[in-house]
Amino acid sequence: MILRAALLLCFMFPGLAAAADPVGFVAAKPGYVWKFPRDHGNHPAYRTEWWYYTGHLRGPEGQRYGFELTFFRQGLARNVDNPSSFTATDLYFAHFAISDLKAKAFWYAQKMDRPGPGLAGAASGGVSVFNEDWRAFHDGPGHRLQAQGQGRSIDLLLQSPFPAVLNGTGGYSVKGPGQASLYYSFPRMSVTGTLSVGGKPFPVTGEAWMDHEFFTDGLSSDEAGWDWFGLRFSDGTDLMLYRLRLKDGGVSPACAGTFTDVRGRATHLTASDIRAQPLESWKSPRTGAVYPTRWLIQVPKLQLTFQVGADFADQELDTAESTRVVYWEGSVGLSGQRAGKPVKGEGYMELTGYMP
Amino acid sequence: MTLRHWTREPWRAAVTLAGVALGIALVVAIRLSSQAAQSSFERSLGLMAGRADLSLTQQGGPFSESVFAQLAPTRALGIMMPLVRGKLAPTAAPRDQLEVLGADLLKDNLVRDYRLLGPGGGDLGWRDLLQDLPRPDAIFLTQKFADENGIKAGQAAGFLVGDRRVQLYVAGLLADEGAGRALDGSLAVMDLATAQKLFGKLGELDEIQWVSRSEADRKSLAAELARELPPSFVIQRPSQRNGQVEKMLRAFKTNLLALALVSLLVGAFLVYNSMSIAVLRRLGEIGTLRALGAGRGDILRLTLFEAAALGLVGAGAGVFLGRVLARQALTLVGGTLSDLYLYAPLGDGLSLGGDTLAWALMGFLLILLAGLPPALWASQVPPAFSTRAGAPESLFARSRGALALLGILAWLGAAGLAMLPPVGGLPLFGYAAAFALLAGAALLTPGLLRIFCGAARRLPLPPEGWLALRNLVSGLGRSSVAVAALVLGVGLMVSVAVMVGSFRSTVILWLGQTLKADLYLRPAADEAGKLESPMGRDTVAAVAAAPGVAAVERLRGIQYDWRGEDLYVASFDIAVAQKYGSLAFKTRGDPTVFFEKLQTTPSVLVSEPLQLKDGFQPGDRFPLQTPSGPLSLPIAAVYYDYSNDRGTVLMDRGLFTKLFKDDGVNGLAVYLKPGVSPEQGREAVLKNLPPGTQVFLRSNQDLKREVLRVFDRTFAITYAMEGIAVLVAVLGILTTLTALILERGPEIAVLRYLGATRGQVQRTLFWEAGWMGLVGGALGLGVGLLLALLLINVINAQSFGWTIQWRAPWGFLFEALAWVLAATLLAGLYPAQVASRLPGMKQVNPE
Repeated sequence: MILRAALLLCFMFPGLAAAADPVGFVAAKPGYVWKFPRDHGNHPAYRTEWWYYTGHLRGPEGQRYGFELTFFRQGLARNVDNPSSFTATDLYFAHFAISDLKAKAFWYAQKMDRPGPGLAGAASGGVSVFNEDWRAFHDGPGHRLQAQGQGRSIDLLLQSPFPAVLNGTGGYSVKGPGQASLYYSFPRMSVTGTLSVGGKPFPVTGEAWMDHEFFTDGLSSDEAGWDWFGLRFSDGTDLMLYRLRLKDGGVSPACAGTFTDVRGRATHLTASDIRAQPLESWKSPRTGAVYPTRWLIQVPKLQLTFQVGADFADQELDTAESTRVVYWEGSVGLSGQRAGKPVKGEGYMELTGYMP
Repeated sequence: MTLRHWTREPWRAAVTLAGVALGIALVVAIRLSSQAAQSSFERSLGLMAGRADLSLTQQGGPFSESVFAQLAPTRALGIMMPLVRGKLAPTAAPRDQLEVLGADLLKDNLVRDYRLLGPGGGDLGWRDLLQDLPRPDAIFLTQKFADENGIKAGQAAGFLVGDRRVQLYVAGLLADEGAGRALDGSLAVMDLATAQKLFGKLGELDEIQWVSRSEADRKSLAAELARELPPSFVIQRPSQRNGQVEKMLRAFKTNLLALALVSLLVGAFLVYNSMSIAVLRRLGEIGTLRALGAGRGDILRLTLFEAAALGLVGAGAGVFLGRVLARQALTLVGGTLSDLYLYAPLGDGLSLGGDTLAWALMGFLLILLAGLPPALWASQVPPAFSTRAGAPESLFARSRGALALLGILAWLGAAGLAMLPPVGGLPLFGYAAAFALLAGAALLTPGLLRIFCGAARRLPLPPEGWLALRNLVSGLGRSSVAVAALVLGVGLMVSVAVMVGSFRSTVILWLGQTLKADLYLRPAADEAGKLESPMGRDTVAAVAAAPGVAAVERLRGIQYDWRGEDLYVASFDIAVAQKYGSLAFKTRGDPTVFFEKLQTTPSVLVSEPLQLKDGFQPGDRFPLQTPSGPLSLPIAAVYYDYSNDRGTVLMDRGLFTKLFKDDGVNGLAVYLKPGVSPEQGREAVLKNLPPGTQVFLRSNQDLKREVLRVFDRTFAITYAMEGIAVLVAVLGILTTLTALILERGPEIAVLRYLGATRGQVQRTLFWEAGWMGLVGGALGLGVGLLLALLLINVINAQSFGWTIQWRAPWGFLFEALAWVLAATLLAGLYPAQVASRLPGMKQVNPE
């Protein structure tokens, strides 16, 4: 999910992204030495950072839900001459969404805060990020997620069967000339915990995807939008893909992906490995944005061809109260073939930059 | 018929209308302006509170921001918004104080409505806001303020924070809408973090506001806060502040309104007078009408219709004139409000609310009531009544005894009412006593005038003087009404002059007893002298260390919410005050003992209003909620303080600092070493100030002058109002005399026929005017002195809680009375001329 929110933030700060004057922040460099659990934590030297969790949950009566819980940090300034704990050195955003796949109902909430005192923050040393009463933190070897709002809440424990999957080259993910991020994923974490809907809690199990990415200059200014996929196949493999759409209608050569096998070994995919073609679209009645909600995707290198489509169309977020962008992020299902064998799967898709 | 009568005598119609209109205008103007002042303030409070429906503050000022983290769970019930407040003044114009709201600018739009404009003039972009957000010097001013002070967005501007000069970056402007119009533009907004740093409140908040999701959530929120926090925290709805402002202004507003009502009363007398004359002049016509078959009811209706027309036209003109006057009054009232009570810049709104129209209607009804007695007399005129005057006078003569009796009863009633306690903090019985006193004076006027004329006739007088006395008695029904109106006008003037004069000399005396220091220092941002701006610690140290300075006394005060009203809790260095200064103690005893007690045991002094209005006596305990917990401190003594009518609780600085965990300073009293002149001391202090600081430095004399300037401004509107009352009363003399002359045409003609010269007729008229002025003035003086007693000892004591030492400004009073006499003589000029021009023989013919 490399740059997904980078694009969000890019739309928020078009000037900042172009200004290329990130005073007090360092750029992502190749050859970054990863060390976990340290790198699960905060990297305040980089301007932008996020922790992204999406996944699917099943209840005891066969209920099926998708969820998204994301934490963003956007650095505003460093070395500010104000010791106040309210000083807005960073902004923290968070989005929490639940998709009821049976009822085809989508709900989301958002938060925006400055760091202090005690409003939002991220600690170094391990997963430890919060925004008001939403949080993600280490709980033994796993990640615990807690969030609530309007009768909905999650309290989930996520565990990955294998270590972090580094995207790009050793976690250094190039986004364009002079632009890059540091990026790793846990594509297939097992989930246990509790979900409440309408104030009623029930136990759930499922699988989730976690992305963690940080950078200072993430995107070039000629990009118009962004399509991202995080997909788990029924054969135990996973695929992450992103497409960067250019303002001139083309696709950026920086498109890329990561294929992860059942043991957690990654294969880096580049733009030439990936073919993606929209098949269907949906127009949001609220915002007028037209989103491609069904795609044909082919990765010849992996002998992979499949169709992926939204579980239901309306999973659009209008985040006027936080990141101030409109985007689509929702639960998707897929079916196709890998190496001649039928394969199914589920995952999350993110579509940005479709506002008219 | 009635219209014809009034058009035949347009001057009297005009004068009567002018009197009525002035009375109503004054009431309307006072209501309008004080309402506008208050609603402007309330509107500002509303705009600044926005959608917040619960507010948390702490007694004694800011509280630790850890409270904010502690209350984080309340976010489930609504939006929670931390706030830091402060005051700033532009270096170039320290008088233009700014109320600064330090808010979370990321989210403030969830609570308050305002639009930020960027340096280009267009809306400030989100990313521009984010770019400026971490800046420790970014401020947003209102468009109006920036325009008036020549400040542009995107530039730096100089400001004063207390005594410190700072440069701030004007990151943008608040568009002239919503909260951008609060406080008439004197609002500035900045980020919370910036405000914490700028106002020295790192780690502290002044307020937390909530916008709860529902009324039920608000209630549970309030309950949770009360459970969670110690009682030194105040939990209230932001709209409760309105009630506090209303309470604060109530006494002031009511006093002004009462004065305006007296003017209206004088106007009503004028109507009564004019209507009586009109009826007398038309006795013949009325008699003819009755003979032609008109019933008593018809005559009554006809005459009342006349009063109604007068009232209606008068009320209409009064409302119109009132609006014009209100603009002037607004400046005066507004200036007073901001001097006395709060920083209340005034908005635009002068709207004729239902309340104003109700007052105008009341004025109209009063006029109708004043027209009732003449109408009743008119209706009693038998058919074919002879045109010869006299019968109504005999009618009047019959009721003269009853009037005098009523007058005595009214005065007894006034004496009784004056003994009664206030109602809801307002001296309602005191006002009733004042009106009873005035009514009694009016009722007693005919009897007293008659006695006077009887006595004066024994004086060696020229024939014209004697004749004038006779005329006054024979026309007692009319002349006494004019005199009564004058008594009211003069009485009002005298009472206010005595009250204000006494008050002023009391304040001067008090200033002399209280202000003992050689120099007074306060932060430059505090030009108005409210002692609310912080003074830097280094400034205090520098002043104390300046050569020639013997000692400094640090003053620190806070607004303290007490039973929903603002009390002032203040402190100073008692040891310094004891050694160098003094205080005007009301409690009898050795001041040294009081000073010692304040230093040795935790105790307080209370200012007089707390004794007079709330009954606190020396030895009682005063309950206080402080950040160190609730406690009640013994009252060592009561002292005089005319600077605050709600009351002050005064304690030693050491105790205050401990209780309120607050070591701020708002002002310094500087005592110089012997032999150092104020000028030398002033120079030494200024030279020793740390760089970048700016202060107001006043010598003892300067400060006293400044206090008196504020005092005089406060009473400017009162002077204006008593002037109008006297004007209306003198108009009454003019109409009465003119009418009397026209009516006495035949008599005058007989006099002329008998050989009286024009000059003699004129002189008689002058004598009459003079006698009326003299009696009215003298009676007015007596009534005024009585009324002043009532104002000082009952009305003022109950509404403000101050002891005022009686001090009548005799010189001014006699001078004013001389002017009244001159004015009445002047009022006699026109009628005298009319009389002297009457032809001789022709008028006698009917006889």
